[in-house]
Amino acid sequence: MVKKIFLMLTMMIKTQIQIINKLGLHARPSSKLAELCGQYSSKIWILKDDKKISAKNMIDILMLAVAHKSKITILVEGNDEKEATNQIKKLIMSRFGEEE
Amino acid sequence: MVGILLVTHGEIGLALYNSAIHILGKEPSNIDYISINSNIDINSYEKTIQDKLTSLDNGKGVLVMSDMYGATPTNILKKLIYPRKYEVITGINLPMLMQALTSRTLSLDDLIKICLKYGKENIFNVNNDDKNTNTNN
Repeated sequence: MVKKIFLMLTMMIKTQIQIINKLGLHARPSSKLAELCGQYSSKIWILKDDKKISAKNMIDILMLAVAHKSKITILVEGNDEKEATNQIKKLIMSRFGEEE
Repeated sequence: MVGILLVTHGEIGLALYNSAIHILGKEPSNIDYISINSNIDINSYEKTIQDKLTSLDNGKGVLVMSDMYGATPTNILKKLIYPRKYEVITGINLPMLMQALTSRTLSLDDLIKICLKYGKENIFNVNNDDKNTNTNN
């Protein structure tokens, strides 16, 4: 019963976002993003073109080869989906701490 | 947490280790490396490796990564892998190491599988990669 209620309260959050740091999702941003996503119990995916990968795996993120100005879609599903989505957006909008 | 030991020719292991620190932005825990140099008595490495394996093993086992099968680092390790508390995989590359360092909660068996998978999948001809047209750097 509890599980049923939980399922009713969660819904997938879908966010499209542009990668604004100049070097795109290279190794260090991919590592930061995967580490952040790994802190949440929600399932988190990244969609780009026809690919869908787990945002908790930095090598899978790297293999998307996301360049500067590319748009990706983040899907988050689980009991901490709102917080996870907010923090992911914040990290990407901060250019992963890079200067440009 | 499974321990990780890099056993390679010269400074390959150190270079990979330093690259991993750069990418992660922090020093990973429970990992060590040994540089095998031909000007040092090969037999002396067995004790060094055994000591590091013991030090790294906190009950979850140790994953050892070497660089090339048939060469001295791997040959030394082959003598030390019984019983199978320590597992050796060869052909180390940076994706394989990064995958290992970001999957530390896995069991030793699962860690081996995922490292082999990602290590192999990340070897390909970039010119034939359709993603190449989408990158601008």
